[in-house]
Amino acid sequence: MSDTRQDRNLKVHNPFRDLKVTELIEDAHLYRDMFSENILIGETSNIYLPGNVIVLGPQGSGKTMLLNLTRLPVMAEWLRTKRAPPEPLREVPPYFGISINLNRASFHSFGNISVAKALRVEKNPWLESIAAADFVTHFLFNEFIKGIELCCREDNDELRKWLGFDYSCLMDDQLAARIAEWDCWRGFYAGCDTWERLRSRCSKRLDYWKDFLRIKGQEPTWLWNDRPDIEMTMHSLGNLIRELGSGKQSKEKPSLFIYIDQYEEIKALSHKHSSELQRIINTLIKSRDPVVFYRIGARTYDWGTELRISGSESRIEVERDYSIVDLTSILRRREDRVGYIYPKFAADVARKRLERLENMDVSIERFQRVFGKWSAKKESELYYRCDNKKSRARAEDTIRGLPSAIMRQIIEICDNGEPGFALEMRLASAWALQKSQRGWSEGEICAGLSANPRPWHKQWWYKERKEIGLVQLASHAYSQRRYFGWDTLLYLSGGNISAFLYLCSEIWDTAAREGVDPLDEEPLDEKIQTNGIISASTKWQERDRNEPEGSRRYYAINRIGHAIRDSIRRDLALSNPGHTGFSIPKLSLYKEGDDESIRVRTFLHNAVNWAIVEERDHASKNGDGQPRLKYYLHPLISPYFEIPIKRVKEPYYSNLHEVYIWLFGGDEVKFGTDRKRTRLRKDR
Amino acid sequence: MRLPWGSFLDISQSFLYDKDFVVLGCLSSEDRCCKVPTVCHQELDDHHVKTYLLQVIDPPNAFPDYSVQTANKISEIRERLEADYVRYVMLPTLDLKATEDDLEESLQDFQTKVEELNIDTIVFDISAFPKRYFCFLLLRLLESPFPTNLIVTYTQADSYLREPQHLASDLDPCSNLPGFADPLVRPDRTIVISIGFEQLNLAALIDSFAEDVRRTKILLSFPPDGIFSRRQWAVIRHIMGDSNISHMTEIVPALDVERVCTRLYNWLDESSGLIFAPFGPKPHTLAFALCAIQHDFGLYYTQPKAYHPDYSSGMGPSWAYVVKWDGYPCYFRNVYSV
Repeated sequence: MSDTRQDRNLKVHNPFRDLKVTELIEDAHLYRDMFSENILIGETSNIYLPGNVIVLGPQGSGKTMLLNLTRLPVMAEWLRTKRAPPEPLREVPPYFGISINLNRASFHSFGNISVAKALRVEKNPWLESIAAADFVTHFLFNEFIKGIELCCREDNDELRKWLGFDYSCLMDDQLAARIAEWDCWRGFYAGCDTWERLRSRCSKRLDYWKDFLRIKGQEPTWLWNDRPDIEMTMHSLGNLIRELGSGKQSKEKPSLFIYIDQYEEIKALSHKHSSELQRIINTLIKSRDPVVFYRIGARTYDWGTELRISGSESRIEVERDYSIVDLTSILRRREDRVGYIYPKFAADVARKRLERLENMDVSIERFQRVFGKWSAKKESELYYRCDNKKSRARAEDTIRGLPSAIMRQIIEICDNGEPGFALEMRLASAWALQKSQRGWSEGEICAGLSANPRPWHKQWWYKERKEIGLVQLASHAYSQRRYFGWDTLLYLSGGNISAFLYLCSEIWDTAAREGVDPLDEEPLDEKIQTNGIISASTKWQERDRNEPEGSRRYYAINRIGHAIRDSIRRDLALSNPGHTGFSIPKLSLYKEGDDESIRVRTFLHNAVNWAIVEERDHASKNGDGQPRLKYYLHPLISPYFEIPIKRVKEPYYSNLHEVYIWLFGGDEVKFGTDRKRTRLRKDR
Repeated sequence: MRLPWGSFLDISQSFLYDKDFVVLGCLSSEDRCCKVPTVCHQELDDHHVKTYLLQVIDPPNAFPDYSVQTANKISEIRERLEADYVRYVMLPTLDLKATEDDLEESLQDFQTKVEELNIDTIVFDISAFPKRYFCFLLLRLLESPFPTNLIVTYTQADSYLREPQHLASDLDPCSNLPGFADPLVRPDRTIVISIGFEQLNLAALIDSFAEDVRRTKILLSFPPDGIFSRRQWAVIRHIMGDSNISHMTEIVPALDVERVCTRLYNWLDESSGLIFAPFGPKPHTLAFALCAIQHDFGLYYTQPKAYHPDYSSGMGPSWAYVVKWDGYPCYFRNVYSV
């Protein structure tokens, strides 16, 4: 097995390189092999059950991957080769899934090219809406016909069986003739008595809209009369699917699923009419059709900005009109780690890629061994080695700002020739510095240092400060911080599967450049892992610059990231280990009509959407009981700024105005320092 | 296709020597926007030349906000034009993200003015026009009966803004250029990407077409001088990683629009249709636009909202392409029929 792999060029055959899920989306066969159905579907089963569903999550969290399984070609591939739906969907009623990618279909262009103008009538948003709705109706009908054709393929007998469709019924032109007579079409399909004629008439209408969007269509005068009613049409299509699924018992009858992709991009692309266009889709959701169910994937904060329906102030309501599947809460590590499925998911994704592209049977355990285990002691040894005299002497320089007697005592206690001595020194001196700043005498500090167990070994004190201690050691040693280990990889990816694949891909490429086969090394050299991780971190940060609103984000996040790094390096007493993030009172962030509040909120929401910042609820320890929100840079960009990847203790308590200045001001960002100084003065 | 092209002076001597014509250009912060209007007024002063300039401004929420620096540079350019005795008429200013309707209205206003002058020839200087403008204007000018004659001109810059600064920033999501939508998914198409100095989220654009595209072709420009080439390959590496891309890459001289078109027709023979991502030099975009107009293909781009005021500096040679003559667009002229 290994020989076969060595024959290949490792760089060319990086199993993690093809990060984009879109590739899997259009290759149903590949999708079937790569999708971690048993892990994900169980947690997100609502997506596959009747009901309108909005799937939320930041960029790269796997929304599209999950929603893709609602599309008929993907399910057809699954059934064709595995003879059954994915295991967790076996008990779910069948569905006939069609989709539209609104951005790809240029949906946002409606309104930018005015139908009212073409008809030489006064501006009329309603007219623009009905034109866009007409386009969507025919687009989806075209997809519906494609779906029926797919079901008619001879090799899709398992798909027909799953849906309860009868082959002869599908092929019957009488069915096409019946569809053409539906009232919802208002006569547009009259006379189309075969599937071929239906398709041809539908294409004609779609071609008309294509010409219209290229500014060369005729006046759409017919829009007044023979435009179909979108809700009624979808309902009729849903009913037809029910009827065709007569082979099933009533509770298992198939439904029509409609997956609407790129709903959130309408806003960025159509400044004048985005609201009207989004309201068309909202209207479909509001209809709460018993046989048609809509699915929308949106970045966390892109959903909810426009919830009104067309021609009314009425809004769609969560739990009443639709339910939400929030991938952030499903995949993110909670403090209690209960129900934390992400490690299993990430390992499964990696295993499937290796199996598929390398034709290797790599167990999850073996893959984890490639990265090895991280420990603070092990990392400390990479900066200051206990078996090297010079290194030990240099480590003594990390003890700063203390009287010589205390320094000597720290060296005596910590320089014991054992691995991790430098981290011991750093933590002991930080503890001593804290006490000194609080006015303890030299004698008291020396006595404290000698105590057993050592005060800096107290569980939480140690746990919260060891990573910052290591960041400072790396800085003192003029070294790049080293990153390695399976758990580190999971922390860095922050519950984002694209981030995880980015990391694996960059580590693989780095190893290949060194002529190392990553799967032959257990564990893989930590320098290779570090270089790969730094490269992934840099690319993740750079990638964002090119995303919508990314230029501003890149500039502001750079300022904040470097300010956090400087603040951490300066904090030799490790007094504020949680100051790798900041929190803001929730009320100030959601103040209506306040410009600062709106701008900060929009910025932070976008940063969460694009997986550059993480947001969590946060109970204030100020005693004011005010709810706060805390924000950290995404773990994957932490190596780029050389800040800790783990979030501990209390973040820096900031306020709206201060964050506004960081994000939109031109001055240097001072992260937390003033507060520290004030506190020190008070202590003295 | 038959597309007469050459240096602007050569083409003007062959095609414009007996004609009154109108110059349509863009007033921007780039030095090269002056070149064609100045040459027309100084070198071709025997003729009746009238110049119309359109100013395009970055949207108010663009980041970084270059509005002050850009306004200062435009003032300098205007002073320079006046010092060279170039008389011009300013068309109403438009936002960079103007909709199709806004663009159409502006164009109709311009066409009415020109028709009143009884002139049927337009020299359309694309040198400083953003792509979303010049492709739309080209489409409308080629497809409408007026003008009868249309010559596109392009002036090279002496140099471009150096790295690590970015020529353009603050990108919109991937979308069709105005007038070049291709909303229907049709499988087995080829996406043709021309590569420039900036990646501008080209990767997201490629993702958008996963459903249609079976092949990718990359167009690089020649001659490959050191910096130019390095920046182009950096963009390719970013999109394609370390994959072997030699089989999908084609190198065509930056100014040879006709040759780019020939390549496009070859690729069209091998697939059910083309989708264009014009991220490269403007003459390559011109070729894409011509092919897209002829065959109703889509042009897709991730539009930057902010262009650096020092995007380019200096003025190189000017080139001209006769895209429409006697009412016939160049793509309807057969090479062998003349």
